[in-house]
Amino acid sequence: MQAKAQPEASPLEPDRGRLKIFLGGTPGAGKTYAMLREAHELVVHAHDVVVGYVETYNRPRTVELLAGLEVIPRVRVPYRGTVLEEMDLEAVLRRKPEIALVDELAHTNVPGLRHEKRWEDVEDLRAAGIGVITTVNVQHVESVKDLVEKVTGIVVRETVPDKELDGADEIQFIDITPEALRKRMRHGNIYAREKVETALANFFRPQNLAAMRQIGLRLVADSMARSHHVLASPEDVLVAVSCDSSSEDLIRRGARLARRLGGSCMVVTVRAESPNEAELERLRALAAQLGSSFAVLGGSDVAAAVVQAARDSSIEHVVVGEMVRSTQFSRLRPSVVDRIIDGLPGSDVHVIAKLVQ
Amino acid sequence: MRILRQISAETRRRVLFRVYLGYARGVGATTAMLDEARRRRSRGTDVVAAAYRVHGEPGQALRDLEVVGAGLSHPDHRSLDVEAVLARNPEVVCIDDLADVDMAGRPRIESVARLLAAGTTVLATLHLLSVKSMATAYATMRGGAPLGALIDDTALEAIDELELIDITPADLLQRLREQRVLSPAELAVALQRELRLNVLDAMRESAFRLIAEHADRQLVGYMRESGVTVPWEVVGRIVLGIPVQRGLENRIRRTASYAQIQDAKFSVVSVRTRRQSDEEKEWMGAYAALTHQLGGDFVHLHGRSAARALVDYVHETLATEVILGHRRRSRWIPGDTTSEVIRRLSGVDVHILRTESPGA
Repeated sequence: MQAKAQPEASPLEPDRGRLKIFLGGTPGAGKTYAMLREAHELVVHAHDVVVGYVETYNRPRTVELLAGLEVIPRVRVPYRGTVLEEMDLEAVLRRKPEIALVDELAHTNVPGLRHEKRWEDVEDLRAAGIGVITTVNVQHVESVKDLVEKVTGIVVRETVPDKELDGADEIQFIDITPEALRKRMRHGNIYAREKVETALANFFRPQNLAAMRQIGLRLVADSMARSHHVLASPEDVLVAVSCDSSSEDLIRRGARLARRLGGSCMVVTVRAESPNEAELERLRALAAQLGSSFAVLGGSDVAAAVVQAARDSSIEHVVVGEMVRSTQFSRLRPSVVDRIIDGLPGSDVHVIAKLVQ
Repeated sequence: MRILRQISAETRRRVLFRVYLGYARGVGATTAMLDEARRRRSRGTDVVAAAYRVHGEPGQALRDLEVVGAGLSHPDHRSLDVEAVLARNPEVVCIDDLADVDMAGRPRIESVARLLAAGTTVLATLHLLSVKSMATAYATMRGGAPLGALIDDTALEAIDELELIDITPADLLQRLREQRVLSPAELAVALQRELRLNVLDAMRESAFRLIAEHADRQLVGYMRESGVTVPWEVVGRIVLGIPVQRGLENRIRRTASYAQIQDAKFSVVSVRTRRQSDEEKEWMGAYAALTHQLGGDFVHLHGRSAARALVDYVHETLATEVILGHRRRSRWIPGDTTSEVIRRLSGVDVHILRTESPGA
C-alpha cells in the first residue's frame, strides 16, 4: 500500500518540464513582451529563469525588459557564407535552469544543429525537467495554416504541430485589436518607420489582422471546450482522402472538426487509389502532426471501403472531398459520394468543397 | 487610392471607445487600461482617470496619472462624476468597470455617449459577468447574487475595440493569493463559487467567444469594404435546406447546436415548388417559430427546382456550408436533390445529417 504513494519519478528521470505558450493572434501583439514581464515576476519570486533565446527585433520596450535576466549566449552557426545565431540547446541543458524562455516556437533551425525545429529543442528541454515559456503566432499552428493562407493570401512556411499546443500546460492568448496594432505600428514600436506604411498596406491590413485574431480566438476557445467537455458526448471524425492536391485541406478540416466535437480524427485512404508511396508518407506525417491517426484500407471499391471503416468504428462524422464535377453522362449513376452517403445513414457526411483559388 | 482613403479615415477618427474585457476579478483589466493611459500620456496626450477601484497602493497603481476632481491625490476608489470630466474636457478618460454606477446612481456606460460626443476617447474595463446574457448563463454555476448592475448585450455594439485580457486560471488563482485583490474572507467564499477551476475555465471560454463574436462584426465590415466575395470559413454561415415534410424539428435543433459549436450563424430555407396544403403551411409556420427561437433566420423561397433555388440562395448569401437531411428514398435516383445540390454548388461544403434513430 505504501509503495503506491511513492514520489512520481525516479531521480534519474526528472519530471517533465511544464510548457507555457503565449499565443498571439497577430505578429506584434506583444507576446515576447508578455513573456519577459512574466520572467521578471518569476525572478522576483525567486525562480531560476534564463533566456534561452529571445528575439527582440530591437523593439525598445522589449530590449529594455531583457535587462536583468540571465541570457545564455547563442550558438553561432556558419551557413552559406554567413553566420546565423541560434539557441545553444546544449548550453541551456548544461545550465539546467528551472525555467527557460524560448521565443518563436515555430522557428526552423539552421541545418547542422541537433534538431530541425525549435519545438523539438523545447521538447528536449522539457524532457530534461526544464520548464519552458515560449511564444507562437496563430498563423504558425498547423491545423489552421490553410485557413490563414486562404483568408490573408499569405504563404505560411513554418508550422508547429497541434500536438505541441495540446501538450502545453498553459496557453495564454495575447489579444490586440486590429486598429490598436496598426496604431502601435505607426508609433514605430514594431517596425522601423520606413517599413511601416508598406507593412500596413500589405500584411497588416485590417482585414488580415481581424481574420487572424478571429482564428486565434476560436482556436483557443475550441481547445478549452475540449478540455472541459462542454459537449454531452464527444463525436469522432473519419476523413477519406485520395492523395490528390485537396487531401491536405481535407485532413486539416477533419482535425478542426474533431477538435470542436471533442472527438478523435482518423484519416483513411484506399490502397487502390494511392499508388504513390512518397505522397502517402507526406499525408501520414501531416495527420500525425495534427494528432490524427492514419490508415490505408485494402480493396478497390473506395465507397465500400470507406463505408465499412466508418461502420466498424461507429464514426459519427465522415469527411470526404467533392469529386470532380460530373458530365451529363455520369449523372445517370451515383457518384462515390452518393454511395458513401447512402451507405452511412447513421453518420453525418461532410462533402468538402474544393478550394476556390 | 483605397489605402489613402483608409488611412485618412483612421487619422480623422481620433475619438474612440476601447474596452478591456476580463473574465474574472483580478485578471488585470484595470492594470491594462491604466498602462495604456500612461503610454498615451508619455506621448503627450491629455489623459485623466475618472472612475476606478484599485487594490494595493493607489499611488503606485495610478502613478503619473491625474485623477479628475482629486488633483494629484489618489484615493483607492472613485465614482464617475461625468459633469466634472466634461468640464475638465481631457483627450482621453479612463473609466473602470462600465457596469458600476456613477454618482447619480446610473450605470457608468450611460455616460460614455456624452463623453464620446464631446470628443473624448474612452478607455474602460468590463467584467464578463456584468454582461446581461453572461450573468444569466452563469447565475447558477457561480452561485450568489449578480455582481451588481448589469449592462445590456446590445450596449457592446457601441464599443469600437473590445480587447480580451487573458490569463490562465492557474495563474489567476496564484495572483489572487499573492496580491490580495480580495480579502482572505472574500477569497475563501469566492473559491467555492466563481473561482472554482471549472467555472473559471468556462468563463474564460465564454470571454473568448464573446470577443470573437464582437470581432466578427468588424471582420465582416472589413470584408465588405475590400469587396471580398468568396465564402470564408472563419465567419461561418450555415444554411439548412428542408423539404416540405413533418417532424423536422430535431433536424433544425441539430443544425442550431452544430452552428453553435462552429460559432456560425444559421438559416433554415424551405423551397416552395408547388401550392402547399394548409397542413403543410402549418408545419412551415412551426419550423419558422422554432428556428427564430433558436436564433436562426427562416427563409421561404419559390422555384421549380428545390435544388436550383437552394443553390442560388447559397451563392447569393455567401454561405459556407449547406446542411441537408438524408434522402427519403433508400436508393439513389438520377436528379435526386442531394446529388443535385452537391453537383451544382462550387466552393461550399455540403453536410448530410445522419438519420435519427427512432425515439431520439
